[in-house]
Amino acid sequence: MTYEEQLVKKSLLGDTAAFEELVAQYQNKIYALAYRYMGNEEDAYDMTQEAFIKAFRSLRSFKGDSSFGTWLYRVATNVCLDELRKRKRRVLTLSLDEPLATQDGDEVEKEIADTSPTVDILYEQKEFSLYIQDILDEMKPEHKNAIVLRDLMELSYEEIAEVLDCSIGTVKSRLSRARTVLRKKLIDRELLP
Amino acid sequence: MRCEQMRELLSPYMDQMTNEKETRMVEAHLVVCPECKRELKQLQRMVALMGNLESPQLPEHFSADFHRRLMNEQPLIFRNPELKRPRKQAWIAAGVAGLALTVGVYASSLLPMGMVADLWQDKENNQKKTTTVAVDDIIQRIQLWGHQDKDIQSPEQIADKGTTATSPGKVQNLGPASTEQPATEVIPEKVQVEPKLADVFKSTIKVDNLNDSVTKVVQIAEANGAQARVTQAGNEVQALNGITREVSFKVSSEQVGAILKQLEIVGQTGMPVGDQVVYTEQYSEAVNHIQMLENQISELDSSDEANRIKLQTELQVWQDKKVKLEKELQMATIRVQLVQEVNP
Repeated sequence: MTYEEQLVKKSLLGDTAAFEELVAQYQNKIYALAYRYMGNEEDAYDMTQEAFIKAFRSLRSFKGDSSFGTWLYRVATNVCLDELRKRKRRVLTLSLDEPLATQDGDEVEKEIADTSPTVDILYEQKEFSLYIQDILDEMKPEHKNAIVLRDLMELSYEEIAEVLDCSIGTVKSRLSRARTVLRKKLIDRELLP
Repeated sequence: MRCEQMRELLSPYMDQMTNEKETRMVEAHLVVCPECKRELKQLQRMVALMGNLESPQLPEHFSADFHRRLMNEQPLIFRNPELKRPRKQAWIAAGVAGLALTVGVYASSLLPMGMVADLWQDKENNQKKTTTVAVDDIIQRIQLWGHQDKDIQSPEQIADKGTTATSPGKVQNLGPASTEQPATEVIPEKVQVEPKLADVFKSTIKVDNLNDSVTKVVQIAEANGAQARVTQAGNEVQALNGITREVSFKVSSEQVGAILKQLEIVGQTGMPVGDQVVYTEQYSEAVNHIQMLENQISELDSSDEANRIKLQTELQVWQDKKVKLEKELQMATIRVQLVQEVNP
């Protein structure tokens, strides 16, 4: 039994400390996922908590036929999608006070060809992230799922199939279509060189 | 390969998820098509951009917050619900299942005579394995459970001592002095419960000449050591223009298969229907009385001759009854309904 399997087993028996260890392993990834679904950090934070609580409650339904991580993604995806469905409007919040994420300097230069001052570059990067989020929010849920899980969370096709409970063939076609949609939108907004 | 077809494949191709054939087609096309080549590059750039996207960091206080949340959860102790199901329930379930089995085998009059005969033989051989219980049986047992103070052995336990076959999963034989409830002995689904049912076989045969056929059937019965009874058939036979007779006789279970085969000579056999005579109540009654009397006898004062004789006489009566029932149970009744259709 792997260490993770041991933790899962203990959690099943009510060992909350073991479960919290599992949470620590996955919390960043789940937060990133939630952020992409919800579009803002506050909601992402809440949804991350929700997702883990739900996972704890429904631990018994984890059959072990997929990896624990994949199962967690599935729970989180469902939690987020359920919440989104409840809400009527998605509001894009641009908060300039949020700390800017630092980026590897080299990477930034590759992305943007001209020599703009650093602050502007970082700001654009963040802006870009928000633009992407904006576009994602416009997309159909099934397309959004595909993009988030593959291009943002970088799951394999097999893992995505498990999370979305569909065939790999479905993943292929959904992803293909989703990327086409995304590409067109990016071109329209002149965000894709 | 045309460009429209290509569009769909570019995405999986980029992720190296195309099969051999698809891969070759894409690569061949890309060589000759600058449009698609450009599109693939765009796709790659886009995915790279997405991959480089900054994700917000999870605030550090998350762990503490979550811990609090987790503690507020209802104490979720994952205990396996130990359902102390009253054994009765499970037992009844097994019984009903068994009953369904019985009904299924017999009442499915889709079997030709010969096949039924074979099945019958099988039944004989597999008697140990059958789990057939009549509803009466079930009710009987429930009533028995109500009697806490009586030392009642379930019929099959007594049968164990006697003639009927036992099988590994059977309930343990209780001694007369035991005060254990039958209920505690019954292990659901594993108990082989002997049916206290005598089989009845009803078959309808269409014949050309009624009298001849009746004679034939009687001969078959007598050849097998049974005495036949000929009567006018009851309401079961619905032949509009026919005249009917019923020949019934009892044979031992082992003989049934052969006899059914023999009956095929008589005429066009219809599909046999199985039925049962339920002796369970009577049998149980006998068994219980015997038990009761044996107990009473054993509790008697050794000097109490008068009562001893009285009880033993009664005991004998019941024991005789039991033996008689057991004999009956080993017999199968064959009822052959002969129908001669009168031509309009």
